[in-house]
Amino acid sequence: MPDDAVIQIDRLSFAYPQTPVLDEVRLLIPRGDFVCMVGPNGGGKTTLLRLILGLLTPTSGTVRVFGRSPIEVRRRIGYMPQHTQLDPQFPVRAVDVVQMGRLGSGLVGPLRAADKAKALAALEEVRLADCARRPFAALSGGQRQRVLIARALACDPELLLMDEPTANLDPLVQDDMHELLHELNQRLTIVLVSHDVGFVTQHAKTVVCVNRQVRVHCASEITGDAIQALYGHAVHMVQHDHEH
Amino acid sequence: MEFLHAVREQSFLQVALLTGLLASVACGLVGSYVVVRRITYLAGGIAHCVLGGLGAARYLAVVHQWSWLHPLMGAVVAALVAAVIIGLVSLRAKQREDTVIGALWAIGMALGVLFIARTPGYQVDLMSYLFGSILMVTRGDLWLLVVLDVLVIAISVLYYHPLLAVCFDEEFARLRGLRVEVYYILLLCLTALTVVLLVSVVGIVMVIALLTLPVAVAGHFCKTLWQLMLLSTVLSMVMTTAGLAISYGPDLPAGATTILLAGSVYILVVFAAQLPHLFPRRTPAREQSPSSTDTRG
Repeated sequence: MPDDAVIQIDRLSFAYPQTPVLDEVRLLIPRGDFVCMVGPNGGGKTTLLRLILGLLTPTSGTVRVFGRSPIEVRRRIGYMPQHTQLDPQFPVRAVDVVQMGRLGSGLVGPLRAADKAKALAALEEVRLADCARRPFAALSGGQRQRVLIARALACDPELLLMDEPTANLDPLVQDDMHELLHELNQRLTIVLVSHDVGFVTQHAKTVVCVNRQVRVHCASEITGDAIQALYGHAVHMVQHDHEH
Repeated sequence: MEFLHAVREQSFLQVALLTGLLASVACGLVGSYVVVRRITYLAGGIAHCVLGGLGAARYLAVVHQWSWLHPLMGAVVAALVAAVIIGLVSLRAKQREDTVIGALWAIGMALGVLFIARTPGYQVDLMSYLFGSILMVTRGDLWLLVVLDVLVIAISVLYYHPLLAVCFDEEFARLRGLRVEVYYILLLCLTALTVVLLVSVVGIVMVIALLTLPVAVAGHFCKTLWQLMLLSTVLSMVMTTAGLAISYGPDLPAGATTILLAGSVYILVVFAAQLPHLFPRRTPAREQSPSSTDTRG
């Protein structure tokens, strides 16, 4: 069983000075899972994501990723932040951004051809190969999200962590994104934070409600049911996690 | 024309011209990093701390007969120390970063002023450090400047990709295993060395303008960081050379002339970029309006 676990969180608590954020969290995410983290703003979703990445250290308890500490296995994790955190005027092209996914420690001098090829392949995978040489700043919100996914894919990850991949997208673009992530889930374990009910109902295998504590809802038992029932259940879950 | 003649005849002008061209390369490369990473204020702090080093070196050389100590060496040491301290403050004290850097900025200057006041001899040093004295650069200085320049260029080019990644998205760079803090301090040290190069050209007070204005102008035309670096370098070369040439005839201060020239070019480019917004083309608007006039008519 532990062999199969990609993320293993045990009795984890995290607090900023005088502000408890997460309390006694237990979570086990198996290989190949598609996890959607939902919950109210300030409930601790992004904090949990940053703990899994090793960008924050737990106040108590443990986080294991691939059975090791997150910092040791960082290079096996692909991470997609929200593009709104980045400077919109920065002079880079889409392909330059994706190539950053190929950087390792102590890399000096020009990029290797193999790394460039990998970056282009990642752009192709998110269907943006024709935008490779366009400035990142000139792309639409949805295209930028996809460039950041390509950058995460260029890392050759086994685990993909994403912060709001469908935020501020119009419905058509959202559908494309759902499809893309569904494809990626065939070979990757995916954990994402989202307010998007579409994910929760259509693609997520596991729904994790985060609000100080964590409740895991196995979405697989409801995926076979009628969509109506799914929506009912999803809405119910969102209401339900406001309670705890 | 008169300037071209003078350059051929006067070796001090040749040295001044070379100083400007050398400094421009470091200025274009490092200035681009400083502007895209938005650390102009930190660069300003480093620049003003340089006065402390210049003053201390001058004081030690004159009062304690450390004649081997060139003021530029003092400047390099002070700039690097300031870069490391300011970098650590910026990394650790996120909440009060600007307050602490503002204080360091003034403390560095105050030290310099005291040292220079206690140094017997020429008081003109203070003015030339603050406002530049490109015409007073000697052949001996030039060798030091060449060494600094080569160092800055080599590091900026060699570490282009990691520095780009750290400037664009520090968190992601950290997740790829890059030692972000080390690269950040390295970038500030590069800034420090570039500041020392530029102090000879335009002086401490105006360094920031020369570090950022060519980049700000080039930013309107460039898609990538290396294009920005190349164009800023060229612009910086043109501006320092033109500043020197314009100031030579009427005997104006070269540093101030260069900065005013750079500032004017920047304002022109910003204005030109705004033109399409200020005066939108009228014709398409008229083509659309008939429908409304038709209904009214």
